[in-house]
Amino acid sequence: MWITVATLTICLLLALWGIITHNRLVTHRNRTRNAWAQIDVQLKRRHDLIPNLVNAVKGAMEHERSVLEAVTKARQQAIEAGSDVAKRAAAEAALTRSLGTLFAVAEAYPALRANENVLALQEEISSTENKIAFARQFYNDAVMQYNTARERFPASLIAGSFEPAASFSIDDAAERAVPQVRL
Amino acid sequence: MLAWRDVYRLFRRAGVGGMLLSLGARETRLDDLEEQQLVNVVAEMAIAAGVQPPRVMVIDAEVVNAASVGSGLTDATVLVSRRLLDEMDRDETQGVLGHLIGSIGNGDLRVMPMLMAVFQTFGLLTTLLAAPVSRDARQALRQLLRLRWGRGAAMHEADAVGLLLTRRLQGLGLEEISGSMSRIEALAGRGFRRYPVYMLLFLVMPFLLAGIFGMFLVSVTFLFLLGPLLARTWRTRRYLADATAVQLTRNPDGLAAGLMTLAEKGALIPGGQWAAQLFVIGPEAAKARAGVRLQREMAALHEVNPDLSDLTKLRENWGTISETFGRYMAEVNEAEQGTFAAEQGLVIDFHPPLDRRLKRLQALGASVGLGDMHAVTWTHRKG
Repeated sequence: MWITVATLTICLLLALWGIITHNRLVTHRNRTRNAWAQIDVQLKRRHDLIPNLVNAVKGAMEHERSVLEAVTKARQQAIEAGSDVAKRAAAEAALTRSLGTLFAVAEAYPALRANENVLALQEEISSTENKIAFARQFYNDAVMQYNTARERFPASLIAGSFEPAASFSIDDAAERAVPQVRL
Repeated sequence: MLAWRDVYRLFRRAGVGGMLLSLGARETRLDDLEEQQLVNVVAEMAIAAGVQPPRVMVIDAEVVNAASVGSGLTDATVLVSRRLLDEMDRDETQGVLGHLIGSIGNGDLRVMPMLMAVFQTFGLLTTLLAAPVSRDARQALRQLLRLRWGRGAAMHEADAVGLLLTRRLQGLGLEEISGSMSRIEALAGRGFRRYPVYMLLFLVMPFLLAGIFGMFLVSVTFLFLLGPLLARTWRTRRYLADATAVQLTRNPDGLAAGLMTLAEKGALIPGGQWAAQLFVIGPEAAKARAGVRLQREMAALHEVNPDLSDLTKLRENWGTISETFGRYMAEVNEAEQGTFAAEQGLVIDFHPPLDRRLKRLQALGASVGLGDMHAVTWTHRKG
């Protein structure tokens, strides 16, 4: 009699543990998804801001057509990269770099530095870049927590249906490389 | 315990610091670059913390400070003084807002009502005990009842009633004792020869004394035992919010530099002193500045009269010395005037000392900090 009771209790406890672990993993997974959606929102916002910026500086920067074209092209590629995390990350990194060049070149134009419209746009874009960075930070933290929860024993026994998440890392050698300064 | 739950529920609904918003807080102006930047920084920090961006309001006060008010994640408001935006660069603003939004994310807007509910419950206890003898107490109770069962409680109303309750904690009920005594005397004087009045007095006296004694007991337990512990809890939450700011910004120097600016120019918003505990810094910055001035003036005095330890010399300069100390005390009083901690009549600080906060930030990797701070405002204790 009491053997049946013990077996039943153990089964019940196991089932309970399974439910709790499963729910915890779901929470973690949805947090990573939401975090990814947040990055996506900010990336889209940056894509929307870039044409405005290009139009605002076009008049003053006629001799820097190549820089402007690089920005426009990088934006196009980032939009076309789709939802693959690694490809998207590389394209966005390239866009960040081309924008950096644009701002650096724009520093040389006093007319642009005094233009309030351009200044406001610049603040908007650098804020959006900060937001991307913070969203990425949050996403990567969430991914790390999710993957850790997934891989840890004994949760790993029932985590088969949970896909591992990829972190938004910089695979681009050019961005990771330390810039060389020659004097 | 049950009373605490009820009081907590009652005031949690309304949130904390709603009355602050009636001090002339306004929406941000989007055509102003500094305020646009503030809105952006708030949005960035909210993303980093993974919370909804709180509402941002600016207050046109001539002090540097910022606070977070509200009742939880969904209706949090960040309140920033305009002068803070003028004084701080983007990194510092980011650090300070990292502190505020980190604090919101850590659930401090829920913790504060819990702590306040303890104050308010004890205030309610003393108010109940004082109700038979004090008109003010009865009025406070009536307002509380209206808030409890009346139509939808407005935020500022809850703040006002909460303050009214906690104010009952101070003074240990001495006013009530003398007040009721004089009233009984007047009653006795009027009916001097009539013996029912004496009868009445005789009957009422034990209850009165028991009530007063109970009031006294409640106040003392609270002020010397529970109050300091609660304040300490809140100070720990401040350290936690500082650390969260660093975690969010990954830039300990931003907040450290922001705290330095606050140490130099930070003060409480006039009219908002009672909510000092909700701000990034409380009265301690102004107090520390007064302390530095005192040290400087004493050092200057010492330089003019090197043999001040001589008793006759000391007597000659006594006027100057006491005047200097008097000025210091006045400055400290002014800094603390009206804060919740000062209202409780005890030295309980809701903010950790700035130098300790900077030291902890240094442990987290900040390079600006104590050394520079001593150079700017602090003078080293004579070592």
